[in-house]
Amino acid sequence: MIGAVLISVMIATLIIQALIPARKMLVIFSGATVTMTIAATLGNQSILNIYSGVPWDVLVILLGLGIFSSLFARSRLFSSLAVWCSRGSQGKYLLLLIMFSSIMFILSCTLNNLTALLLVLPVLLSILKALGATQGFIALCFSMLIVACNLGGAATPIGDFPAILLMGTGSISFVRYLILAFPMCILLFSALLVLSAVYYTRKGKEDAAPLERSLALISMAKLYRNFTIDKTILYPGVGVFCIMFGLWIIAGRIGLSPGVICFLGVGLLMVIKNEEAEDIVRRRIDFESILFLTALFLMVSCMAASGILDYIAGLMSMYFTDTKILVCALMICCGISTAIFSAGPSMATMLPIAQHIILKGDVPGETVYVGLALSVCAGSSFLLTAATAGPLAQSIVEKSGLTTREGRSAKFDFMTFLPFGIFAYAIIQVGGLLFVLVRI
Amino acid sequence: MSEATLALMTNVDPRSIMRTISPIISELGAFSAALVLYDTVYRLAHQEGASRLTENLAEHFPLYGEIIESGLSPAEAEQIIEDRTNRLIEEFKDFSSIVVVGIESVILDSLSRKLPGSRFYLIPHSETIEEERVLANFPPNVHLIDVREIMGLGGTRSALLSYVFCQVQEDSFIYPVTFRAIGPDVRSSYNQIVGLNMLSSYNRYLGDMAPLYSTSQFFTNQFRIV
Repeated sequence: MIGAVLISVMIATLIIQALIPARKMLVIFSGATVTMTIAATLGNQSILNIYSGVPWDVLVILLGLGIFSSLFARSRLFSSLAVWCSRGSQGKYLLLLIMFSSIMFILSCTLNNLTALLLVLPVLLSILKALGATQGFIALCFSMLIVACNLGGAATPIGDFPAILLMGTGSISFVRYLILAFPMCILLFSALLVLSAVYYTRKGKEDAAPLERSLALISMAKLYRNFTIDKTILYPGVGVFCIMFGLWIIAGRIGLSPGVICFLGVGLLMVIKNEEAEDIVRRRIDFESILFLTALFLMVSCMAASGILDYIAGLMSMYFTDTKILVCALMICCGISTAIFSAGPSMATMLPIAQHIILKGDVPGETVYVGLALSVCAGSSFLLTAATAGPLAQSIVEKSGLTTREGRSAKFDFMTFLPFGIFAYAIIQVGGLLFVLVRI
Repeated sequence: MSEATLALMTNVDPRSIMRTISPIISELGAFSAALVLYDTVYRLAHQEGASRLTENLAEHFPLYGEIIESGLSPAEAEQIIEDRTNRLIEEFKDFSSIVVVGIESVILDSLSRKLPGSRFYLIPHSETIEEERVLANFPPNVHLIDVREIMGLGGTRSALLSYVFCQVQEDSFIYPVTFRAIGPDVRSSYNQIVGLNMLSSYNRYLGDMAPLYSTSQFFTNQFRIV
């Protein structure tokens, strides 16, 4: 009974925060307070037990990687890569699409994709402004970029929240996640990129006139004429990251948790670049998402202790007697709930259910976890509002004043993204299901 | 030079050219953008193509036509600018603060590097700039400021530099922001107020410029650029 009340409060909270994004912090904290009060007073749960259910290691990794990304961003690496892409594209739209999507995929594998987007998009917008792209290309290009961010984030255990949650809770090791998810994400990214390129070519690709292209490229070169990478940040950053990467691989053998390794690495980089680090910690850290996830974890912790998640897992097992169908159903639920509620709430709720299913049935856990991460990635790519990268890209495009070749204001919004989103969701979700079905 | 390439210069839509170069007009300056455009067209279609584009752009970007009118090749124009900039460096070498109203990268890139002991305060002539990108292209002695900060930077070792267009006898045109920057209160605060002559002959298409009568009363020193 208490479990049903708790889950109702959580669902109501998630729906309200999705409907009123401007008040999502207030809504989520109110929801967490109500949930904890009910769990403590009516459900006889101790506050200490509720706190111990929060995966603190995950929050530590998110915080650490956020600091690391911000420090790394100051080296101007992202912008320099974007400038290099503009030059390498020779002003051809198709090459721009391929190069910028690939860069976003690679950057999102290791760093916060919001930081990467914030620094790469202004360069892409500058070259698109100069070239005068069509509305169709602008929609395709930004949609592909969002999906590349999502797939890059799912490719490694440190790329995005679902993967960090899996590693941080000890559900899967760093190496096993990398071995299973990375090739799948590369495959799915390549498939989507090839299909986008084919679609664009069939739609009647038309590059800008030679004078416009030459002028656009020279303009870019002039706008970034003395723009250089700050090697005093880049080299220590790369060095520390390699050490962290090495330690994550052998984390199990040396007995250090991924969160501690992350903090050690970030601490070392902060000591090396102390002035910049001080500024970042004081002013640039995204505490909002950390606090949002803390409130969410508190709600999930209350629900898990009430036994409602075991009950749901039991119901699913009863209804879907075939293990393969059961896992597929869980993955599809996870994908759709991600599209509606975003990755954090969806993964945080689905993971305990998945753990129960893995414990009860004879299912390889690693396969299910990676399948879930791919489903979250599919859901994040479904609607523009599902992942934070989407609204951010929309707002950057709106503020940039980008115009199409016809002189109209360029549009990149929910409806512009939707056709590509449905297509990307289908490809990634089917890819994830096939991955799980082949391995079970 | 093929007729097709030359025809491209005549048939090109001036609005698409303006769309392409508008970011560099904002962040590098109109004169620097005109030089970039000239250099690009010169490489593709030589002097003949560059001249043909003049008529096409006359209404939208008169500075381009002015540079073509000078008859100089891009390399020659750059050489002259370098010589004039060196004279400016001589003029400014004893000043600790130099406030520049409007950005012209073709001059400021070299000026700010050759005077590392002076602090440069740039007041952009356009609002559509990416400040971080603009600053990343200059050395650390260059700062971006708002026109309201101009009074506080005056003093005996401070100079003010701006641009003058279409000078005809005593009158000329200036960027609107210059009009505010060189008001009577500011003029008395600065040791020198230098005007760089960017466009020598009259052009009726300078719609976004403000007329400045009796120009010499405002500028204590003037330099002709090309």
